Amino acid sequence: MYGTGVVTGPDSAAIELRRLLEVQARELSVVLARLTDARALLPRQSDTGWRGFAHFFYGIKLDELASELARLHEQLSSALRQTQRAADTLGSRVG
Amino acid sequence: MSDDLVISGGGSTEVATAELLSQQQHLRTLAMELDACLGRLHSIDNRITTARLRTVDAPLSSMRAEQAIDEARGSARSARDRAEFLASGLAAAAAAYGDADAFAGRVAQEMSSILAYQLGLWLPVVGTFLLPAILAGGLAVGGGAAVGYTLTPEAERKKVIGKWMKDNKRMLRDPRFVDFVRLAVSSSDDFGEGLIRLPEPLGQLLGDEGLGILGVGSSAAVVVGVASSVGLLRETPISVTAESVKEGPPPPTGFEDRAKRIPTGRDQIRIDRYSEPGQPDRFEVYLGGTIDGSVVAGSEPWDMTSNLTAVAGGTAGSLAATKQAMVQAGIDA
Repeated sequence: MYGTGVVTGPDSAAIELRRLLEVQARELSVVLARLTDARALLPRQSDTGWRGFAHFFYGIKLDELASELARLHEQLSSALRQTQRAADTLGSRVG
Repeated sequence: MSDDLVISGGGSTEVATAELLSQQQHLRTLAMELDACLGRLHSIDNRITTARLRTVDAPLSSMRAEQAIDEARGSARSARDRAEFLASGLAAAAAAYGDADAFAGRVAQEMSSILAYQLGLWLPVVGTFLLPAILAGGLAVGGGAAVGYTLTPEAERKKVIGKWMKDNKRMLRDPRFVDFVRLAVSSSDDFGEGLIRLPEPLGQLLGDEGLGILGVGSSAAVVVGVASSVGLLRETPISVTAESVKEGPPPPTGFEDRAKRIPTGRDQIRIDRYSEPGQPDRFEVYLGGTIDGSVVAGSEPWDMTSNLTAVAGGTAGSLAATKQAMVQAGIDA
């Protein structure tokens, strides 16, 4: 079971893990920012004068891609929050 | 559709709009960005292993973070693949539309040929009935136009034509108008074949779609031949003079850059030379458009005489001038 152990003193492995979690949080922030910029590249369907079935299916695929990017953004945000929380928890335990 | 002229590599001018090409580029860039994100996530994920988390009795949130990173890697991979698929799909769609356009163009060409042939075939019959009206109207309109053309000074004529082209530039760059002109010109031989009552199958056999003996070129040759016998459309000797030599302009970077270098004034030929040590010189030749619309050859090789002579397969003054200029510039291959 995780998260219920009692640390009685400074633990070098836990300190190292906390450092790694902080590095991870910083890197996740960078990836998240990069993803936010990349999402702006997603074309809008209405920008073209293209019409017809091919355009219709293109629109569906664009919507699917937009949903995938939104899901990715949420997963990365979640990973960042959990990483920061884990680093804080470890910090309160090992100082 | 935007008013901008789109130049694309063999695709359709009606579908390959600037916006569509831009979307394809954006999707490719998005796929590359997602691939980069995926690489960083892979690197992040490998740094903290599950074994390490178990060893130090890590908080539950750290396990949740690892799980979210794993899921994010899956989503990033999927999104990257979708973006690449869509970019490739746009390219394939543009090519398919190009093929469809080419097919539609062939059908339109055939229809235009048939119509032109029938028009030529039936025109004398229709003309017999309508001759009085045609004569009266033709004399009034044609005569008025001819008198107006003759009495208007050349500079004024150019000004009027220039203003008309400026006022109608929207129509002139409309793909439908371009198609109409292309079909009208390429069907002129079919009209002539109908006019001389050449049997249609024989016309097709001898025409552009068959043996290529009769076609736009032969029609133009007949026009030039007949016109030159009365002093029109007759090529005259040409001479080429180097007006200016400049150094320094960098090589062009694309269609737009090259379009800006096409001569628009009195100088009609521009030749750029690029030299690199150890390499043969490279040249780019830019030619201006027609500057004299008269059917009487004057002092300008870029005139209607050259246009029709070139279509007829003869030695146009503009072509001869270009060859001379290229030799003077050192292009000898």
